Amino acid sequence: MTTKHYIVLFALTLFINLAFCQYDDEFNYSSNDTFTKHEAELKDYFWNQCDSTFRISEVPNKWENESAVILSKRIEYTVKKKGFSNKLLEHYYYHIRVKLLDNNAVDEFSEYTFKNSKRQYRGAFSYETINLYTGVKVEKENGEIIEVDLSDAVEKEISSGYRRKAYNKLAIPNTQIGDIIDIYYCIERKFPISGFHEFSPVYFELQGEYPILNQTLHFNILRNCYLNAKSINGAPDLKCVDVNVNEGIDSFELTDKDREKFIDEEWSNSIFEVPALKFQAYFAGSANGYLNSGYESFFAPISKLKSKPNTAALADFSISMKTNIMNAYNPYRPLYINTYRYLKRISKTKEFSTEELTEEAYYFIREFWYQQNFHLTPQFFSYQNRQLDIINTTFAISAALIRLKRPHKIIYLIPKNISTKEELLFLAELTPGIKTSSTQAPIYITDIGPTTNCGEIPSTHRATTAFSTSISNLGASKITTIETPEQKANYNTCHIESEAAFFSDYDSLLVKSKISLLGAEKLSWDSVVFVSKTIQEEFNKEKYSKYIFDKTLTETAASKERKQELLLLFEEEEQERLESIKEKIKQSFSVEDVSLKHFNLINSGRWKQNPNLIFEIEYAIKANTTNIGSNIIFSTNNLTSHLGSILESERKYDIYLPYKKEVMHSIRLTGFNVSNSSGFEKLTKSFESDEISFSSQYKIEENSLVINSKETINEIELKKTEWLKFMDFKKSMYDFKNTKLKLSIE
Amino acid sequence: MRRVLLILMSLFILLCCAIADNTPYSKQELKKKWPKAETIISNYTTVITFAINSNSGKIEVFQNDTIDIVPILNKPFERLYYYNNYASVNKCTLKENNEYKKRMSIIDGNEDSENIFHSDLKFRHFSYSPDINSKFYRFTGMQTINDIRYWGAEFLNDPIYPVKTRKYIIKIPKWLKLKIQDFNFKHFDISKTEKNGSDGSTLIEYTAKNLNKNPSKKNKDSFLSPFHSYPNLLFLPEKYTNENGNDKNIHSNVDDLYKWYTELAGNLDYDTVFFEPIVTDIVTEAKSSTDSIKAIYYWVQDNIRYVAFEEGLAGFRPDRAKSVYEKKYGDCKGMSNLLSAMLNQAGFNAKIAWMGTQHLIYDYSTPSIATDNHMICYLNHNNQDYYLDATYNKLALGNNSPAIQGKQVLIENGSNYIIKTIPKKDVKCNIAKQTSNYTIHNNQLIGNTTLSYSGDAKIVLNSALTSIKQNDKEKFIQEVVWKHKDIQISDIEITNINQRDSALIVNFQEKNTNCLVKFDQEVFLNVNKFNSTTAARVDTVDRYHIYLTRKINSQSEMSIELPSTMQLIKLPKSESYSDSIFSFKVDYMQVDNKIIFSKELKIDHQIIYKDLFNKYYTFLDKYKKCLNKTIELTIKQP
Repeated sequence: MTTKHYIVLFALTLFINLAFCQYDDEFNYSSNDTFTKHEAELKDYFWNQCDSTFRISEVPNKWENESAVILSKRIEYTVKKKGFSNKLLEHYYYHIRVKLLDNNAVDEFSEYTFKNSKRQYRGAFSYETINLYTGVKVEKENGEIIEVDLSDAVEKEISSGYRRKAYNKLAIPNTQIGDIIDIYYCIERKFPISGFHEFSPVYFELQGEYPILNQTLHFNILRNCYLNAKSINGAPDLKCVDVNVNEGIDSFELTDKDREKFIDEEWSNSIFEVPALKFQAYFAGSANGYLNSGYESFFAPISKLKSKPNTAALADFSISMKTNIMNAYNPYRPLYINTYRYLKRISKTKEFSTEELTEEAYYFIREFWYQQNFHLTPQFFSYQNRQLDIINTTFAISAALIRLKRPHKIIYLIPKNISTKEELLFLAELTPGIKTSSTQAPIYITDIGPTTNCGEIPSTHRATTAFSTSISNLGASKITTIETPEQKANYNTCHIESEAAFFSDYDSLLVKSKISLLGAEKLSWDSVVFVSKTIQEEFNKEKYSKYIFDKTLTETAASKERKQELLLLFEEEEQERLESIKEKIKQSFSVEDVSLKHFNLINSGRWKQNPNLIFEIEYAIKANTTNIGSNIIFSTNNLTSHLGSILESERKYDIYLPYKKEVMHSIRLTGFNVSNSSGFEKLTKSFESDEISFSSQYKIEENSLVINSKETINEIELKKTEWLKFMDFKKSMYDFKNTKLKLSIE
Repeated sequence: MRRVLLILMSLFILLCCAIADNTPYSKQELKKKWPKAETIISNYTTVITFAINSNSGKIEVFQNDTIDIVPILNKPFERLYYYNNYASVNKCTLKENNEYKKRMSIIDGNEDSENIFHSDLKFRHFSYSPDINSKFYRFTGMQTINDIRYWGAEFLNDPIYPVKTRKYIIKIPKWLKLKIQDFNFKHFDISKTEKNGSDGSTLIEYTAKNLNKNPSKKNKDSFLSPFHSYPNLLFLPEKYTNENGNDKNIHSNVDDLYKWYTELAGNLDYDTVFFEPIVTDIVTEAKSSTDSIKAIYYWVQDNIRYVAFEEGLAGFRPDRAKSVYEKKYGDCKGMSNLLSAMLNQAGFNAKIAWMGTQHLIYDYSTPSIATDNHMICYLNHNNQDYYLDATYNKLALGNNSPAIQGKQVLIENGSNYIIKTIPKKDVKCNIAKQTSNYTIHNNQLIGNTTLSYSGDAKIVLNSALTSIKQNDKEKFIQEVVWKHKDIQISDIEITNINQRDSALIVNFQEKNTNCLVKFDQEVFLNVNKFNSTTAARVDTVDRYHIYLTRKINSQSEMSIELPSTMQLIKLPKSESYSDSIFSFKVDYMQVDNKIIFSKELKIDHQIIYKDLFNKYYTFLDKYKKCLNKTIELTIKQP
């Protein structure tokens, strides 16, 4: 085709698009007048036709000492299909009325940043249009109302090439304590669609930084559009408030009153505390609302408003995901194809169980991906700018196993920090994984990273609901609900063996520690002790080099330079590692100055046979001592784990600890005369309960003091009524940490 | 003519390249010097030339940068230039190993920082992801300043990368009289050469070696500004000879600078009809002229919100007084202008005044636009000078914020001007005092503590307290002011936040479970915790100054009532130290059944420069050691 032909085709396409647009009156603001007219309509809608809560000016007495109070807040969300056109409309209106009660609130609310209140974007072919409208008014205490002139805003922009991002900053004039600020902001979006479409899932919290007197979420769902919504953590339910059969409008509303602000407490989890409405609208794609793929069917059965997803659809979804990764155009296909080839090759020499094969596949994929860092030219062309995630790992392994005729289960678990079975609504709330079929010792694949181990289940993925389907060449079985394995304290362990000796001035201590970590406890040190060199050194050439190799020949000039570059990188990372370890010691033991003398990684814990991360560190710190003649008063706080501040006596929310664990610490202290020293009995502490416990003891061995402590977390969710128990537990650890001993230095 | 111009331009470019063509240092050598750097500049040459624009008649300044950037790690490097109506960024190029041209990614935008609501300054950001195998990348950039009067100071160091060799070359034509003053050269290896050209021009070349970058964000604690650390040049264009051979002043003295500032400020005529009823209303309850000044000054502080705008004529034109009043917000210029308008309306002869805050190191002995970054209102009343800075909340008349103390002000006075220096507050006035009365109960120290802040100590704390949420104030006292995490405090009461003429008082109950330790009959007590918030201790590597938020005058007096079951055995020795800047005093004594412990720490400098680092830290260590002493008690035998 000649250039001329291309021009003709381009002109024709443009004509068709423009012609079609002529019929689309609602959004076709061909003139500024139409736009301005709609702008005026919206202003009238928000400021004249608003409900009575937007006329309240008084703050309840209980909130007089707050910084600001939201007197009323209204969100309006509308989705609809445009008549006979192929356009979907999504309107999001936000309206808020806030009373300012201190200078902080005046500063906070009187600077307003917003995008241009005009047409934002009109794609040449897609015809996606986003129109934005906003308005601001200030209501003085004497009742005077001042509408803010938005043209006083200063325009700011950032541009790069043809891309330009512009926004406005407005300093709202004449604001002071006692004023009410009333702001509305509207986003009206229109875009073409041919089939099923899911709108973005929204997690809307009803509690925030300021107390809210009244709030309303209003939904208008029109023509072939539907809504999934769920109220959680005590949020009021969404109710149907209007059905207009002729117009095809269904309206739903959530009203909420008198909502206190959220107070962030240590060890609380807003996911389980803050009342919220989860919602997601979708367009069914056709008049009969037939949803075909597993992904679409997750929203079925079609209903104007429903609060449960169709988890049965996950079976079909698994098949489509497996097919997808096998697709020649999928950039992650090399994960699957190389895994399959590797498994097929090793299966020729030995009989492997499905569990063994899954384990082999896991380590193969981990190494296949993360060893690419050290290649001159990665064999995996799409490696750069992509991330390895559990979704691609799951379906690459699954597709390879299916091809090898090894049935297994695909599971979709609900991470504990995301949702629960009862509150599940979005597909994105599920994490896929693999469970092998063995009834004795099934392997779970639920996480992947450069240092993760096969079968290790993150604490957020344990003891939670999962939806499971058996998958094989024949297809996927019906979804069943299972529970992932429980979590035990001894899965996440930290064992520290330390030797601490005073320097001759008794001002500092030399500490040598051997630290062994397992499970979630590894996470806090992983990023500190691991460097690329460790990963490269642990590459099993014998096993993997046939499939994981550098595409470039090894003796080229570029290859030599790359080697040199890697040496530089390793050297740099080593420096960074030592700095990070110093910082980590400071944080872990709450010490100010650390002089790191030595670090030695004994075992990386990256392999299932030996999963403990083990290393040695040697460092010098300031000793917390005070001289009193021939004795010193010595506080053990620099040797024991950091605890944070003293706890508040009142508790508002339930207690959520990150994971179950067992921490054991043994310290041998030398460099003083044990026999003439005193106060050792203060080291004996004990707090016992089924959920949390702490104990510490001491013993004298030769001329040294050995201090042993053990902290166990058997339960990670405690009711707020158990706060006193939790405080006692922390207090025993706090007292232990701050034990003072009288040590003889004669 | 065009050919001659082309030849001249080519020759000039060749000159720049020849000057800049330094052999790059090896990566190993650079890495050895700056082991943590991701990118290092091996050679950085700036050539400054001048020309008179035939259309505008203004002197233009051309800045040509040639920068050899050595990638150490595989991370993108960047260059940043600023421009506005008075400065433009011309073509910038990048060449790998000075051979292959590379295309950089360029972002243009408005400067938008947390502290400045709006500035008309724009940035152009160049970035490039280097090939780690390349020896270096040569970046060339050219910037033009349209009017030499807007050209102020330049740093020799680079803000984001360390520089091995830095050259700054100024080619001063015969027709231009330019004075250059250097600052902060003391701690750096910098040489200067001066050559006269056959055409009467002068070539001045500064060569600096091994320059560090500005501190990273995590090391920004107690860092005031680069002006107090890094070598910089202040350019003072005094006069030039025009085509007709006539000498014309630029900024030959403060008169010229003042004349220019008043032009930039424009007409400040106040609308007396508008302000008359407003001012009358504000001063209606004033019983004296000083009361009237206070009423107006405090009204502006309380009712006009500070919003930093830097727009128009390099941020030197104040917003109209009427407009500031109507909007109820303004920047320092607008607030000063409003204050001046209102005070004049009330019959006082108030003036606007330009000045540079503590951030800057220049004064009016070097008349330049770089001397100023702030505006206040000046008033002489009953032979008393008042420097009114309405950008601070709840500041009493006669008190000045630490940020402007000791700095010169250029006061508008019709066709003349007045220069004055804002007095520094004596350290004796900036008292932060703790008074505690404790009893010993169940091995705990329990009691009431009062913290009292006056002078600069009050200004700094009050400024923070008036800007945080009203229901976060107690938390702020607990976490930021008190900061002893292991000592429980409760029943916090804050008084006098809004009282300008009284000390700020914080009262609370204290429970210290960790200062008393018992071994059989022996009891040891240590109440003298060193509060790290009092005097900063920061990493001094590559640092040239430590900034304290105020001159320190911290005092404590604690009384510990001994229970009848305890008896004092030994008190630590009282100790003290004093020199012209640093002093402390720690005293213990017994009065009846009470132990009275008092301590006092004074630091008479707000900025501690490198020369004093050793002395400062030795002093702090000595003080800390002195506090780490234990009172020895015993349990009385029944």
